Amino acid sequence: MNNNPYKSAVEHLKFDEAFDEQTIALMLAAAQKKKTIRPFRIPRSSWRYIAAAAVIILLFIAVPLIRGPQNTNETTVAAAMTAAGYETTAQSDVTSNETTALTTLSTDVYSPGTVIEDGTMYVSSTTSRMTPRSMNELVNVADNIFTGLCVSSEPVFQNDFLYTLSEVQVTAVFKGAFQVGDIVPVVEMGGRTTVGEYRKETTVIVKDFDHYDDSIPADTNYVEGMDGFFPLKVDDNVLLFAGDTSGFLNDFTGPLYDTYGDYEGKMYFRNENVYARNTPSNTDQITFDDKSSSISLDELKLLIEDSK
Amino acid sequence: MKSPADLNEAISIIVHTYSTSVLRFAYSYVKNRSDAEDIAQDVFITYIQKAPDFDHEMQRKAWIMSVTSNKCKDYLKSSWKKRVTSMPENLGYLPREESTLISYVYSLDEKYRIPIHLYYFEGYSVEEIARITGNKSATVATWLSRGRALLKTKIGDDFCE
Repeated sequence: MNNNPYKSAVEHLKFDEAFDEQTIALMLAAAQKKKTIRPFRIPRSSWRYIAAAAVIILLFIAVPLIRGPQNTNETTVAAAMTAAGYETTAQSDVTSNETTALTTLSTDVYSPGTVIEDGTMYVSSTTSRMTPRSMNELVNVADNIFTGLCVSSEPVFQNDFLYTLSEVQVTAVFKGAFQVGDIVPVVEMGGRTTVGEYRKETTVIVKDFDHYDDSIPADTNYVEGMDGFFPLKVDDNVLLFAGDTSGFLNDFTGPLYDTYGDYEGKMYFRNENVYARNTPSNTDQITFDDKSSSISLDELKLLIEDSK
Repeated sequence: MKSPADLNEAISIIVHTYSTSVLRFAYSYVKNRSDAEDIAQDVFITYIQKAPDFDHEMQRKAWIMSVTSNKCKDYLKSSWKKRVTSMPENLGYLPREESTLISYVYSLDEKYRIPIHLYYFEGYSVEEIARITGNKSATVATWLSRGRALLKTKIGDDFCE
């Protein structure tokens, strides 16, 4: 790549003699040592950790058995396809198992995989999230904080990816230059289209539903989100922590905004004066639970005041 | 079975070939030279222990970069790292424009910084970055785009396309 100042700058970083011959010899010795001196013996001090791990594993096994089947309305793609007379492949089982493992082991990553419900295919990517931003961080980092009502929402394909371009009409402004009544264009990852459109507009071969050949009808609704969060739809009443991302969509000129942390900067109206982040879900229905992070607009105003 | 001398030479070639990339990649994560050097050593020790076979050098490099990424993430998550504060690096030996540029890039959030490093320094594609860092291509594309946009707000169009 020509004229690449970053490459040039990084090349000039100094790492003096990090790997001279002596260091390499030491590394070889260290590798050999680790290879050979590894007796199969569990240190006495480790037993408490092993016991704790065993208890946790038992809990993971026992809790689902005690709670019984959940989400009975949802059907996995494999089950739906099988019920409809389609054959599913072994790969789908592998994918399903991996998804389950991710869901079980990770505390901050929600990986619902793919489900079909009411004739709509819901696909949610997993993004291996970094540490989520706190409310304080969101308030500090966001240039625009406002509540609004989604008045339009449409899918946009760009570079093989599906995005959603929505218009949000501002109902109250807490930070930034927007005015009540302004229409703010917001872009998000994922979107709502049909399986046929998705196939037509993207060229990436390995998609979740490609594990199930081409037999899924083209007019099946297709909804894509990330980590169990889905893009805006019309009539959504939201609190947005938004930043300028003008120029991101090739075919959209003019100011364009996105929410911080992809979906962290989007909270839904929960009840009077309070907005909350919805519970990650297999579908785009907005629900909340006890763990949902929420904030009242009064608290928000105080946080913004404190941040100044 | 390689003799110790042959093994030493083979490892020496690998280390010299990839140490530049590994050190700088680790540095882009941990932003500290001594930590980056420790991680790089650990990466090569892992390489020696695993002794993986590859058909192409590109595969070998991708494996090494992927191990580097994982070790950096482990390091950043470690309790040790959470308890210590690294000294800020002195980049005064670099020309001012370069130290400023590096400061700007390294001030970005990790999720933006790492794709930018791999894209602009290593020349990897979005798909390759996704494989190395273990993320979805769409996510990497978005992070890359947003990282660029953030840099644009700080330094204008002087970065690179």
